[in-house]
Amino acid sequence: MNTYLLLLRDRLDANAPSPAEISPEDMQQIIDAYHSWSANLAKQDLLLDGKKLTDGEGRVLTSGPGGIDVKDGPFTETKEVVGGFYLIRAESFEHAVKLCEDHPHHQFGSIEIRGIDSLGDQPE
Amino acid sequence: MSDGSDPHGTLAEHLFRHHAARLTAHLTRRLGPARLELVEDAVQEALLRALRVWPFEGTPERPEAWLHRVAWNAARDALRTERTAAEHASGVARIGAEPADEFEADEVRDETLAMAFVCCHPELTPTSRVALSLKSLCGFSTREIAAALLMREATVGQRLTRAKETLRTRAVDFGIPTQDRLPERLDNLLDVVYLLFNEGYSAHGGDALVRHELCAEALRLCALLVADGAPTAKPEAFALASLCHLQAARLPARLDAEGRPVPLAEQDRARWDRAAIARGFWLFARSLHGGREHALHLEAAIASEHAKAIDYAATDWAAILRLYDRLTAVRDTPPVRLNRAVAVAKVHGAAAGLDELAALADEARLAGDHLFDATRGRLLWSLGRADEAAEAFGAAAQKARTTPERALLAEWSERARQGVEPPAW
Repeated sequence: MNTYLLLLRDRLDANAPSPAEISPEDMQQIIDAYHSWSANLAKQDLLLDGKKLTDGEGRVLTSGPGGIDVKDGPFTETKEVVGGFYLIRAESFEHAVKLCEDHPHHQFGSIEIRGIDSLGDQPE
Repeated sequence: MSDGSDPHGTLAEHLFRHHAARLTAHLTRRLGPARLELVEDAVQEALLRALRVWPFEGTPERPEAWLHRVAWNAARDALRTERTAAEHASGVARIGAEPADEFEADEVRDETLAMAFVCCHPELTPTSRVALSLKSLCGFSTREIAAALLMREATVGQRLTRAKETLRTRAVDFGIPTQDRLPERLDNLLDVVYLLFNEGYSAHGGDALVRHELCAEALRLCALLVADGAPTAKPEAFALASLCHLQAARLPARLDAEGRPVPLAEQDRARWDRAAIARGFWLFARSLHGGREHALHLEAAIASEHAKAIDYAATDWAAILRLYDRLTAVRDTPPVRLNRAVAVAKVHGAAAGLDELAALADEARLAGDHLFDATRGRLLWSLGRADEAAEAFGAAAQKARTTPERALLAEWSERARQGVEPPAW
């Protein structure tokens, strides 16, 4: 088993549904859909963690000739921003992709799957 | 609350919708109906936070307390902004201390009832009362209200804006009306609940005749109105609750496989909801404890007669006709008289029923109601006047506003024209 990081990016374009127009009933259905996805993984013991990142707040540090430059970000001029992440276990990338295929997040943005490099964890 | 025990479990049905209403009532009590707009924004913000966070973190152990805290913070921030903008702090509402995490059942009930009285306030137009009740009391979005009431979304939006404006300019109070005003104010409230139920039971347009969620909301409000110790638990409220339960009991048998209405005579009574009927009878008995005789008592009594009959043939039409006679004395409306004409036909024969219909023909036509022509068609058909019946059904089909009703009436018209024997009615 390998560990994978799922980065869930939210679309920020004009096509994204306006928050003021989502009804309580719709919101509940969306949450239920996310939960049934994570419950399914948890049942197979494949879900390690999941966290939401704060909205509209972050810092980007870059080094330049004048030292470290701190900017609010990474929100300017991006079409998508990471909203949250999961850590999951899967046999392979193919397996991880399969697990994410029916994720309800696809209607709101993209999912990036990255493998956690576990070389350091290899037994001697 | 048990609905949050499993962080990845499915949320209780309509949890968000009803929490939204619950929070709206609570914050409106604290900030006053004049700030309903601000309250709604704060509640929406709390729900949106939940939408962003819960998918990852799971449902909090006590979702209501969580939403409550976030909505309260949002309202407080909005008030601060308002205060800064106004500069003069005087007269600006204070939100007070952070709410407790626990909610007393009685407090929840009375807040929701007080909110219901705000939504059905006599300063608002009757249609605004319905729209605002769906929004603030039932947690419907503008789009959902538009779909439920078959109105344009923009129209609903305007109506809600105007209603909130009225609440503000007329300084409408938040609270249960005083004893002397209660009967009249309760009537306004019962009218709205009854209208919601009827719109659910027999939609006035669209592709579906029955809108279950409106019936469910009306039943939920009925339960609240007659809850133990509720100031609204008056005989007329019990009567409405009884009526809604007895009617709702028929819902499982009311539509055929294609969604077309099944006439009472042809309904499979084995499919009636016995538990709802038992509840309806119990509520009816409770409605008879003191108080004046309200039109709702008579309507509930009529529904009881139908529920009591083991099959259609066992219906005590003479008793029903007597009840309609009393009902027309207090509520003489075209639909009541139309239903009375049916009872007359059952007791004194179809010809007598037709005479009754003829007497109210002008009013019924003014109302543009298809039920008048449909009923006339059935009486004519049973008298063997098939051509006239076909014509009446044709006219009814043109006026019917839901697709399933149009289909059924067109079929009857065709069958009458072909000389098919009329079904039992």
